[in-house]
Formats: sequence, C-alpha cells, structure tokens
Amino acid sequence: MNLIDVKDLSFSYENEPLFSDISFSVKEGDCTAVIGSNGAGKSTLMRLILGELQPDKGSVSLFGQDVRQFKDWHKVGYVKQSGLQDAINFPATAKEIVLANLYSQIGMFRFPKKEHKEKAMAALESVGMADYADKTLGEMSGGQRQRVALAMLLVADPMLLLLDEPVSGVDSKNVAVIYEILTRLNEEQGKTILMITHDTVRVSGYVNRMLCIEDGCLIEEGVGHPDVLAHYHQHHFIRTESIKGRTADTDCCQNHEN
Amino acid sequence: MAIFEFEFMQRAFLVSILLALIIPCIGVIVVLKRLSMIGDSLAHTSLAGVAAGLILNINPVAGAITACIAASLGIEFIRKRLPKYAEMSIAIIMSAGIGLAGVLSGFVKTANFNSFLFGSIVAISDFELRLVVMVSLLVLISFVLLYKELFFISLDERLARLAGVPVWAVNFIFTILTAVTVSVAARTVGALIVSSLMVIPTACAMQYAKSYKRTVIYSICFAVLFMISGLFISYYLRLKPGGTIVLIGVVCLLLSFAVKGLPRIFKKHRSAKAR
Repeated sequence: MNLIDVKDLSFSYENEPLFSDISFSVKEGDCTAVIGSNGAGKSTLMRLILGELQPDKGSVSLFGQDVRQFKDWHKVGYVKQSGLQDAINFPATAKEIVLANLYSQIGMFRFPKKEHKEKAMAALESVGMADYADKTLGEMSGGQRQRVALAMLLVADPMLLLLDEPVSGVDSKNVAVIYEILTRLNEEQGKTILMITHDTVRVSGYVNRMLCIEDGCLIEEGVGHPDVLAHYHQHHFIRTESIKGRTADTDCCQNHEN
Repeated sequence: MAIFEFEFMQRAFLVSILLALIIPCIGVIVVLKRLSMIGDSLAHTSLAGVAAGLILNINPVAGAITACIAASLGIEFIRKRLPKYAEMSIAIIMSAGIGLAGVLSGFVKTANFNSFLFGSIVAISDFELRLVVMVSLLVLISFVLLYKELFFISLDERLARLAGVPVWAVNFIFTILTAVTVSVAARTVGALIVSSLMVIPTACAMQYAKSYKRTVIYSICFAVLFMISGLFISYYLRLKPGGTIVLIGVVCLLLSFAVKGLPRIFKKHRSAKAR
C-alpha cells in the first residue's frame, strides 16, 4: 500500500519554477531520505505533502486520499525543520509538551487521564528521555530537544513519520541516537518514514531509499545507488567550486583596490 | 480592620481578586504567543469605545467592549495578512485606537472620561460589579475548558493544527475573551495600566516556574499579591490604586531578577577567589 503518492507535481514561487513533474511513491514500511542542496525545494515538497501549499500542477495523496480532502491527520506525525528549538524558552516540561500531541485521543474540552500520562511517559522512555520528563526545553541540549520532538510525534502512534531535517544542529553522538531510534521505529514497529536531510553520509546507512532533488528534477533510486549520490555530489562540487570562484574573484577585486 | 469597614473598599477587594484571577490567564497566553503589547493596544482602543459610549449616551463599558472586540479582530486579521510582521498589527490598531479616542474625546462633555485612563477601582457601581463577576466566570470557565488547546497553540500553532486542534475557533474565542477582559479591567484599574497587569505577573512567574501549569498558577498568585498589597498601600498612603498596583509589580519583577541573578554573581565571585 502506498502511504504517499506524488504525481506530476510542479511548484513555483512567484513564477520562478522550483520543480516540475515530480512523481514518486512511499510504500508502507519504507524508510526514505530526501536529499538535495539548499533551496532545491525539499522543505517545499514537505509542505506540499502536508497540504500547506497548493501545487501549480499535479497531486499529492496520503493513504490513497487527495491531501486536500485528507482528514486522518492522526495517522501522520510531523517534526518541523527546527524541531522544538524555537520553543527553547517556553515554560513547559517535556511531559506537558508530549502530552499536548495526544489531543486527538483526549478530545476537546476534556482533560488527560492517567492512561494518557502513561503514554506520554512511555513515548519519552522510547527515546531515552524519561529522566527529563519534568525538565523544560531550556534545560536540555539541542539533541535532547530533538528527541523530545520525536517523543511528541510518537505518542500519537502515527503510521507515517514526516521529518524535516531531524538531525540538523545536533551533535554527532545524538545524531547516531536519533538514527537508531528511527531505525527501530521502522524495523520493529513498521513505521513508514520520509525524512529530509543534508546528512548524506550517515543517513545512507539507515534508510532503504533515497530521493535527490536538484535543478527542479528528482532522481529516485535505492540506497547508495551511484546515480543518486553521484548526482548530489556533482552538484555540490559545482556549487562549491562556483562559490570558491566568486570568493576568489572578490578577493582579486579587493586586492586590486588595495 | 478599618479598611474593610467601607463598602466601596470591600467591592474594590472583590473586584481586584476577580481581575487578578482572570488577567494572568489571558496574560500567560499573550506573553507566550509573543503578543505582549496586545493588552496595551486594546486598552487604548477601548478609550475610543468609552468616548463613543459617552457621546451616544450608552453605557461606556459596553462601548469599550465593542471597540475592543473590533480591535482584536482587526489585529488577528492584519496578523494573518502579514504573518512575518505580526507585531505590526498591534501598532497599527493601537495608533488607530488612540487617534479615534483623541478625536472623540473632544466631543465628550462629562468628566467621566478621565476615570477610564487610570481607572476607579474604589468607585465600582452595581452594574460594573455584576459585569466583572460575569466576565470573570466566563473567562475562567473558558480558560479551563480550552487549557490544553491554548497551550498547544501557544507552543506551536502549526503542530496544533496538524494534531486536530480547531486553531481558528480557539484563537477567535481567545480574542473575544481578551477584548472583554481588557475592557472590563480598563474601567476598574485603568486603560493605561491594564497591559502591565497582563505581562508583569507572567514575567515574575516565568522566573520561578518550571512548567506551564506552574507558570499559570504562579502568575495568578503574583497578580493577587500585587492587587491586594496595592490596595492596602494606596489606601493608607492615599495613592492612586491602579498606579500603585503596577508599581508594586514592577518592584517585585526587579527583585525577582536580582534574586535569580545573585547565585550567579556569588558563583562567579567564588570561582574568581578560587583562582
């Protein structure tokens, strides 16, 4: 069963095309990474999948249903690009934050019961943050905050996890912890994962598919497929060289002026 | 105690405690949504409603509530149109409110208008007392019922929407509650200082609280403390109650900063000595 179906998707910002005619599917149980340079459109693609943006052309379906009509959001868990880093000064404990995402189970005008609090604790435990349940985000490191964001997502027990750069700004030790948690969720609990990342080196050891967005096109192949990584690295090389060239030009100009 | 022998003081204490219960409930959300100046904006706009009420010979508090609701909906409307410059919406509405209040005040013939600037908590009428009781019940019940929704929206509106929280409806209800609270509080403690009562107790609470629940409880406790001590001090020293209440809050906040900062200073001093 396909949990995500993207068909002939095109999107542009103010008549500037970002990508066109992108098509791919994410099957149940997949663990997929989306890679690409900054500005390639990875986060925009995520927003289109979440139905927050309207495509110029094409369609996005979640669980076989057009995203515009999709109502079963409890089946989808999402961690945004900055995770909970924006809420660093928010005066709430990890437990309160995780509990908030049980909203659909608790219901409007109702209060969390013992079972909901136990679920929140279990989610924190599953990411190794049970000891931090009563700590605020300000008392945690970036990696720990990211693990709380994962616990927040897991507590609602979604089938599909959408992660926008889950390891950005996280130290290498915590990156490994987060990837191990995601692998466990994928392999043991059968969660389907689609994550955006810049971490092309380490992520290839954890995912079973990779998609690369560059120059408005998408290359899709299995992990370590030479086309995907070669394409990505070739673009990085060209970009880095062009930036180096620009810097060199600027330096030349400055030297000339001096 | 002599202070409680006067009926007007008994009313003042009752109204103060009720307002101290509801203003921080609104204040915590307003501060966490980074809209601290919204109270100021609405309070100034409420003056336009008061002036319009006095000119049209309708109850000025009703005029203030109408103006505040219109202003808060206007803020939400501009905030949605300019999401990257959300704070600009507050400045736009505040300028419009002050401008309108300034023009309309020229047509007000009674001296009653000035009492709305600094409030008149010791001159509460029967109607105003009933209004404060009703508004307090409305705000408290709504806040308790929407506790987790308001928490989630303040934490992250986008995630709240994805989790199924009816964000638009909750924001709309909260906007109305804010408008009603500000207009009622403006009549009693004064339009010029009502926003301080929203922000200062929350700022004090955030110095000590280690959870959202405690932030709400501490904010209410601080607000009750400021209100009661402010009334006592203003009564015995013959000062204006509204201003006294706010100044006590500011002093407490400065003391909180000092108390929080002291251990850090001692630690630095000790480590310097050890070196």
